[in-house]
Amino acid sequence: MRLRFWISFLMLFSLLAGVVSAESPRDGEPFDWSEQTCVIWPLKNDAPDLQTVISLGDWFRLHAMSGRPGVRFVLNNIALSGIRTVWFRSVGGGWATYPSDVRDVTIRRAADTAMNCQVIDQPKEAVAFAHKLGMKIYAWFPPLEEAHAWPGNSRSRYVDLHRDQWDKTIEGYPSGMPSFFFKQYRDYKLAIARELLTKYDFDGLVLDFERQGAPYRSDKCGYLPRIMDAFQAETGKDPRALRQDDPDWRRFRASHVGKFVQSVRKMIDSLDRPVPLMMMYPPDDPLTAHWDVMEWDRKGYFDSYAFATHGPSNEGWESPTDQADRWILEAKKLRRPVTLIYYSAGPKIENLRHRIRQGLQAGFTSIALFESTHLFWNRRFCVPLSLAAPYGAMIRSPELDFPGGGRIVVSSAGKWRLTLDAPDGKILAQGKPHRRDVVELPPMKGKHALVFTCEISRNASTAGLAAEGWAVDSQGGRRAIHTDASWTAKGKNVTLTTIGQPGIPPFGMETQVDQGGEK
Amino acid sequence: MTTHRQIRGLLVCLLLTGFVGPTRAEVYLAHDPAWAGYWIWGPAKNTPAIEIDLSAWLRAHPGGWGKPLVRRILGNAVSVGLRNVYWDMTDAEGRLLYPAGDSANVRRWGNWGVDFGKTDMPAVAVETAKELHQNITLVASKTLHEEIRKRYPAVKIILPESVPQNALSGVEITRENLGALGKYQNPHAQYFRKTFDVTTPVQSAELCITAMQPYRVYLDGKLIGSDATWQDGETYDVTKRLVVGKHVLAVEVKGLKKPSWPAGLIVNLRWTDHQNNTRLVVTDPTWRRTESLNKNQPGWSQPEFDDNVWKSSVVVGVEGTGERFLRLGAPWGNPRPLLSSPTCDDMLITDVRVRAEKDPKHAKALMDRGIHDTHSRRWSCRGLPATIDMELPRDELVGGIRLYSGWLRYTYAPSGPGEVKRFRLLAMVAGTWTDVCKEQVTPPYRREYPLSTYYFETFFQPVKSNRFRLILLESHDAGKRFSNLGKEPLPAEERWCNLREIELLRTETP
Repeated sequence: MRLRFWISFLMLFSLLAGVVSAESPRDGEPFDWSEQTCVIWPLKNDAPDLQTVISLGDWFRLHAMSGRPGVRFVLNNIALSGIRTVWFRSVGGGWATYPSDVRDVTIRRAADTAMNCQVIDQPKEAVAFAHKLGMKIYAWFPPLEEAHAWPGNSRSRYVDLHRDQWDKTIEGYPSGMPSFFFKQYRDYKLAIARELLTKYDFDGLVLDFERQGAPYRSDKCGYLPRIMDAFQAETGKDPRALRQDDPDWRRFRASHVGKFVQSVRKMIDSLDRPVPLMMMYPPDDPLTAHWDVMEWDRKGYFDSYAFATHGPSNEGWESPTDQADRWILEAKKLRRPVTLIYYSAGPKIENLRHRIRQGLQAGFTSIALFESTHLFWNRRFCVPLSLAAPYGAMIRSPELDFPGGGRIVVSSAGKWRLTLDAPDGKILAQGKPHRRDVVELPPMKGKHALVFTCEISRNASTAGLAAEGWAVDSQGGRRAIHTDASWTAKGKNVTLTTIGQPGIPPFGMETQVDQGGEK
Repeated sequence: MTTHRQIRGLLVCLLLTGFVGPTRAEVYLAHDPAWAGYWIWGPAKNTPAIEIDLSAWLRAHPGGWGKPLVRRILGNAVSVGLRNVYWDMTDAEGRLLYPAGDSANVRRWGNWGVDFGKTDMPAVAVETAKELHQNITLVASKTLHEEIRKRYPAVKIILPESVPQNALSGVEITRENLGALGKYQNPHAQYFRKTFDVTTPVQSAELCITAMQPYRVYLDGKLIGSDATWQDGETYDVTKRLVVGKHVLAVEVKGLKKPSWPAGLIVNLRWTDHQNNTRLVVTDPTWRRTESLNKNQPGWSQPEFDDNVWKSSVVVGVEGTGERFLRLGAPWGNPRPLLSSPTCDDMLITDVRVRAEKDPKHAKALMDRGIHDTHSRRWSCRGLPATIDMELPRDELVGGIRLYSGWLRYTYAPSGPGEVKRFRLLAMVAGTWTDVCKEQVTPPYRREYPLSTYYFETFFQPVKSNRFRLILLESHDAGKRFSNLGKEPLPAEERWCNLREIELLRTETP
């Protein structure tokens, strides 16, 4: 009896000894994750289509995030939350945030911070890295030159040079923006759209009509005499005698923007690699002086839409509404699918989660979360993660041959346990979240798979497992081991996906990124 | 060799004919620095040094790299008076943080795109510190000194144990910590003077200025302008004041109410003479400065004042390098009216107490922050009429009023919806409220740069009093938010009215 006790004790001890064999890398030992290693995790097959946005200007304000490290940091953290599509802000206000060659475009630059979009080609970095992570990345382009973040200070050079094309308000004041009534202005905007899709390998183009310069924010525009005369010649009606929201008068003004949209459609159709064209607009206003959604939908200009829904004014303009039932009715009027946009800055995590749930129950299958800075700094990436991925996973490597043993470095977003796909299946090692641990693989006969059982917490913002190292074959040679797409995940209705890269904070860095509270 | 010569010859040929590369005119970059010179202030006392381990900084605050990051960190430091920088050449794990010969030991995170072997971050730091007038010292173990000295020959190198014990960790130099770090800077009001000569007749002259605290700027002793917000620079047309001869720009900037905010002043005076030569006077360390102005010497802003005993200013920033200075707008295009005439020193009365019947909370804010322009709303009321009472410290002979309302910053936007349309001004005379001018009707602002208007002024028979009452009767607002979208206008009691600045104008002394 006593002997049996000691045998059991020794077995337990050896098991524990195996467990503690996962140790942190020795001090002073250089380690850098391989480019081939991916962060992997199963994603739910029935998860909604989750999207978010990147405005690097917002991220730059925090810790000067820019360039390759900035782009990779932001994209990686988005990807680790299970989001698979991002919109990359390519034009902010009237300023291109990329090295544009379009004549009279303005390129964003702050010379004294050395933040220069002429030199730092962020879309190039973003597209390349998003594709490396298996994400889709859309160019996000507000053609109405919105200026909410840069009041009065972000007009393009074209606008300054072509005051003769400036629209007028109903009061007779210059609106400060050219009118799409002028073909030259439409061509200028088209050139930007074309450049975005030909210079970069974007997977889609979002035309954002929700963002408008202050003078454009209403039906007050379009009162340039030439425009009014053209309307009068066409309809026999004098706009001055009509209300500014008269449907015919609205439609006429919107038709000029429509010509621009039509030209974008044609341009995309002529590309070697046509990509989807999305329209973002506030759904409570399907017809304004600047857009005519039903008409454009009938003509098939767009492949999809995104509803920018704002809450009541006392809730702050960035708050989403709880009116998904209402918006689904609007969505059903359209022939193409609709993404519902939620704003992340206002609501608490639980409210955001609740609202998105309402949207999904109403019938939306595509959700876009705005304000990715708030998603990150306020740990709200836990919301998309809860929709996209399971909290636990059993992940298995391909069959490996390591008669001479081996060594791997492991990092995970949650607790993990490593066993071998062997009859005894004993635990080789286990570890805690967001550490970097080293596991010595014992020499084994035959082929075996590494089996990781992982678990992330319910409030986690990132998922994922990364491991890399080598197996020693019978001749003493080393064969690389990497977590990548060749690994598999056990579970119903999930697919193992390469969702990120290790070695980008905080994943696999043995470091805590300051990530709490409103920034 | 021949091939090289041929290629070089071809390049020279192309350059001469203008076929190589885009011209400057075709590449139009936004935000070229609109401001020249430095932000200046008084020196801070007993400030600690900072030690910056960029490897640790990156791990705590990831995402930045290269010049933008270094300029941000050092810019933030100098903006709160931290001038002594110790720059670590190795991190806590002994990785080298510069492009060293022993490249295997250089810190790099390949997937992240951070590689100290490819980007010479200490060189960027040395260059930036020089520009910001900071003292930078490299920190490394003895074995590395020789190599580092060769690489950065003009920079002092010390051992890690020689870094002052009380040095702040560079990781603390962040946007969020600026408030806490503000305690290190000089909190006192500052007085600045710059003497300069105008040698040829002036064709046009603009003074652009802003400060982190409320300022008053004088040219040759005459008040030019005053403002309380830093986000937008003010522009003043001083063409008529800048005659040939010696001049003095003098600026008074208030101290910090609580030391949680960077301090600083930036001034750009540009003029063009009749030969179209442009001249520039900008803030830099040569500006004379004091914070202990002798009350018995009121002429400190006058040209003849002797500022020899005053000290030099110190640099607290270059526009854009620090957090607080990052989003400073370009000098506002529309010149503001000057606050003095050639015969009158000071027409502005700023120290008023404000009470509004409606929305008293906002009225208080108006008073606390000074009655000055801003790009954000300072005082607004919903529902008209509204009353604002202004109490002056003493009886003044007031002969005019200037009202700033609506959006000031949009030089191209249509008139703001909350602008004042009708108002009355009363004064307390012999115990009764008396109309000092008839009811005024103000047209909407004209937004047609460069002819935009953004204030309304009217003059009247001067009245002596210390209490004035402004009654806002109607605004140009017709509805909600940006537009009423064709709906019926709201009744007056539901409309908004905004006021950004009130100036009561003292009559000119005979």
